[in-house]
Amino acid sequence: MTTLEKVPQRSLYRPTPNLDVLRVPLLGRVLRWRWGRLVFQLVLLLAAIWVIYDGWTGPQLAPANSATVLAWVHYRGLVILALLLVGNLFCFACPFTLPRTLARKLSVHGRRFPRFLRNKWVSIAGVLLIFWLYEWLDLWASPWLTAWLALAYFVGAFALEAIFTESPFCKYVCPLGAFNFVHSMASPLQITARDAAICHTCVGKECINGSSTVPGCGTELFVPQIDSNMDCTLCLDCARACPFDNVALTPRRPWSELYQSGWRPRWDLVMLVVGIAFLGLVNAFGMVPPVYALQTWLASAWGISNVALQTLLVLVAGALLLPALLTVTVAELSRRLSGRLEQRRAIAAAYAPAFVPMSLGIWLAHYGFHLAIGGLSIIPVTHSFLLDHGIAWFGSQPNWELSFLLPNGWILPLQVAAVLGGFGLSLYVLTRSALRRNPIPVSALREMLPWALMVVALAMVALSIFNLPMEMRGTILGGAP
Amino acid sequence: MSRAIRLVAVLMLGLAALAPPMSAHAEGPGIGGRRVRLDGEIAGPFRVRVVTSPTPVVVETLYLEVRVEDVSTGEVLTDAVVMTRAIALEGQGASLEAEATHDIAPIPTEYASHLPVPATGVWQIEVEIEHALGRGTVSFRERVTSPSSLGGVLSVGLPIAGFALLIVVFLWLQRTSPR
Amino acid sequence: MGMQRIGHSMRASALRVTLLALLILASGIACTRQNSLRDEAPEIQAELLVLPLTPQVGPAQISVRLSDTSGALVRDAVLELKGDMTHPGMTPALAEALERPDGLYVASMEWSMAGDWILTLQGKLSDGRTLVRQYAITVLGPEAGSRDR
Repeated sequence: MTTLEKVPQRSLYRPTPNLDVLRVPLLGRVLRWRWGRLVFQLVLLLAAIWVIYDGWTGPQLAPANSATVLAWVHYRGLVILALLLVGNLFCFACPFTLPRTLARKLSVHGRRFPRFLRNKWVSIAGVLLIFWLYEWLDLWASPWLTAWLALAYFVGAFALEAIFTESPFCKYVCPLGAFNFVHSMASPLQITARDAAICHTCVGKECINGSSTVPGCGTELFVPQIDSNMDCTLCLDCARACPFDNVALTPRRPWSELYQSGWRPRWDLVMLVVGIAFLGLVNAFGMVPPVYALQTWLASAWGISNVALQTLLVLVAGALLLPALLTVTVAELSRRLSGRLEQRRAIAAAYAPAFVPMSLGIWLAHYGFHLAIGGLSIIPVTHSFLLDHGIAWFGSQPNWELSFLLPNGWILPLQVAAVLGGFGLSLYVLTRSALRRNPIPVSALREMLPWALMVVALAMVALSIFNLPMEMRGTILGGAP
Repeated sequence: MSRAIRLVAVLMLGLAALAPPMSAHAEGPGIGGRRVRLDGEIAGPFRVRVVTSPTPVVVETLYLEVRVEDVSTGEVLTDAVVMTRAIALEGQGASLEAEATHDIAPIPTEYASHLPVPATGVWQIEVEIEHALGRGTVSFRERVTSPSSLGGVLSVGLPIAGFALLIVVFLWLQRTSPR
Repeated sequence: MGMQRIGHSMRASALRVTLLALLILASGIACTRQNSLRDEAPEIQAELLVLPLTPQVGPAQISVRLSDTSGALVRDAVLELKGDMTHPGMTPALAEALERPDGLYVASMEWSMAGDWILTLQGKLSDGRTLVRQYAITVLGPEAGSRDR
């Protein structure tokens, strides 16, 4: 049985379970069914197998291969839409954890993940590593490398599940999970206890410890204490394991968690949230003309012409050092302006969640762009795939002109709307957080002013980037060696 | 309070001063985005294609690229005299005329000209071709815009407006809050 | 306990057999895969001229010169061009290259976005063989300051 760590007392934010998705006829039954998650995982597993197979054996032309189209157009666009509209649906249907059962059988020693790694620094490193590989190796342009990346996820998840007892891959390592966890904080659904009193008298705590047939929460969340979607994979094992049927998946105001939940003052959490928002800018910056000017400058002024080093420098500077420096500086300014005797990291933890809507807006504008201009491209790609296997059910000529999901003229206004929506919500969350901590409006304004300026700067840079003409450069004729 | 707001205002002005978008300095036919305005247009014995740049066309910079083909054989004609004109339709600015030559044409078999249209508005663009085969004229309308970038202004202006609104909300809250 | 161990062992065997069967099936499918783009005329030279010489967002003219091993022009081919960006999800640029009296095949295309493009030349020769060639082209954006002439 897992022993619960002592958690510092803080106010819990829990939505009132007025409506429970797990009790919606049919859908609720499917979700709570023991194999309910497996059905969705198998669908994504098939997609992953297709990605790996087509990536290795198909045409090494990114727009004509399902590996690159599914991974870099559909997955990214749909995952951000799902986070915005529903919740962490990808982690729910994640196929990488499917070999978990087999891995757990091999896990004879039952070791715990090392204590010093039980934080978000590994996730931050993982996110940076993935984006570095993406930019350096032009993963989007290579079906072959994309297939290897998908396989690497399976191997990584399997290995960590085999070595350790809990699910360290999901909670501490997976870069995709880290991205999803951050943005699910602004999602409209959350796991909660239907009746907290039942949990107080519950002896087995099956939601976290597991029952005889269902494992407990892999990321070790205790349902009555859940006040954030952070770390929740939406696997619903808690709901299946609860002997009292006391777990609800309930709608909430999507942004309320961001100013109501009390974060522990941890720099790793702060940096994960702020860093991912900045990473959104760096990633989008990689697709507009000034990035080539920057690369030229790095080569001419500093003699750094190695692309791997150039991309590493840009990523580390833009998505790690700059946000770290700004966050610490802004926290200090905020502390001085408010006159509070509080640690910088405590102030940062109070305001960092406000960066989630801004981050969501930036990523939605970027990934939504790719989905909007290329959503239908999977149709000719699938057609071509079938033709390669001698299946000509839909004719002998794929319609390669199928691509746009939305009219071209809508896309920039929608991108601007996404960024401005995120910006407005971030300011709103900052305001609510500030007023929650400081009942006097002037004091609240003083404390939040530096944070608001940081959000304003992010919005300006984001809008400027999305106003620039996009360029798509990548490994020409790259792919399998 | 007032000191903090003054400091913030100065900072925002500084940011705004830095932020106006840099316009493209390079000029020439084809630079700044090209657009096919006429394609396969028949003008007397000629089939004509006209490309404009930049996109959108801005004051002082309208470049035209003209391809002239013999309508009967499809042969590209390189020995024609091609005159281009811009005539203001909204009553601003004088009309302009320039000969299109091979010298500045990005595609050597075509003709290109620069018409420095002096004002915004709708302009009538005419292309007149003279050749041993005969004479032909084509025309179309082109909207000429201001070189400033609205997108760039909005990129800076909207976040500042949001920030200003935030300050106003707090001042209002302070005024209405019980003392 | 013994029965349980036998059950585990049987399940493990079943898993291994299933994995092996899936691997064989996947290999079989992979072997039957035929890439629709296969060049059947490698000896034919295909020379490409893209105008403007420095490709830029907007219209372009592409001329193709086909010649055999003796250097003679290859005529009466039916050629198509497909321009793909290296990023997935982008609409390709498609054009038919029409043969001119001088034996060159000429097509008009539109580069819709700056970046790296892969131009695929695909066609049928008069003897029925398929010709496939790919070319890498970098298209400059509207802000490009200089042009090759």
